[in-house]
Amino acid sequence: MNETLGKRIAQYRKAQNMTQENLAEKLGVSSQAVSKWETDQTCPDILLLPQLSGLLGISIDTLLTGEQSPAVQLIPEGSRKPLDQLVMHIIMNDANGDRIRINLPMVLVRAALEIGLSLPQIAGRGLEHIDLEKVLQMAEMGLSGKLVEMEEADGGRIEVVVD
Amino acid sequence: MRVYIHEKDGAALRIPLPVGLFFNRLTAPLAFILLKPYLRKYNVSLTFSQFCLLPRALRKAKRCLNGTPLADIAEKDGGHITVWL
Repeated sequence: MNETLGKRIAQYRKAQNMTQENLAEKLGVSSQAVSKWETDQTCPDILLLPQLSGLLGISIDTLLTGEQSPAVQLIPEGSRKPLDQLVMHIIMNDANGDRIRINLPMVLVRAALEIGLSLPQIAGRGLEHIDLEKVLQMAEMGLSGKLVEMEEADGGRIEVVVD
Repeated sequence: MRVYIHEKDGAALRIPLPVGLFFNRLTAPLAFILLKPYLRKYNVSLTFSQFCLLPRALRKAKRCLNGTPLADIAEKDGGHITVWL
C-alpha cells in the first residue's frame, strides 16, 4: 500500500496506462497540477474526487485511504444508495491492448432492460454472456463491487463493477 | 452529449450532440420515425411510449455521472475516444 495520496494517484494512473497529460486533460486541469498532486505538494480539489477516482478505476475510499474495499460486499439495507445513484462500470481490456471503460448509470440500465435491450447492444462485443437483469437484481439486493469477472480465451479481460 | 475524439497523430475533434433537441416533446415523434429503420436493423422492439421513457432516464443518468465520462476508449495505437452524457 502506498503511503501518500500523491503516490496512490501516480500508481493508479500508471496502472490505467495514462500519462499525467492524459489525466489532466480529462479532469480539465493542467498537467502541472497533476504533477504537484503526485509529488504531494498540493491536493486535488474535493469536487474532482468522484471524477478522479472514476478515471483511476478505484473508489474514493481507496484513493484517500489506500485501503482496498472487498471485491464484493453486501451493503446493509439502511446504508444502501438508491438504485438511481448506482453506476455499473464495465471495464474491458482487450488482448490487443485496447482499453474500454463504460460507466452506465443503473437508471439507464433499467430503462434499457424495460425497452428490451441486452448488454452487447448497449456496450458492444464480448458481453453476450453477461446477464444484465441478474446484475440489476444483485444491485437491488445491495451487492456492490466487482460482480462479474471474465477472462477471454485470447487473454482479454472483462469486469463489471457496481458502486 | 459530447464526443471527444483524439487521433493517434494528435488531431482532435470535439462533437457536441444536443440530445435534448431529439428528445423533447415536439421532436420526439419525428426522432422516433427516423430511428425506426435502425431499430428494425438491430432487431430492437421499441415502442413510442418506451422511447419516451429515455429522456427522463438520460437526465437522471447525467446527474448520476456528475462529469464522469459515459464511455472512455483508449486504443493501443494512441487513439482516444471519450463520450460524456
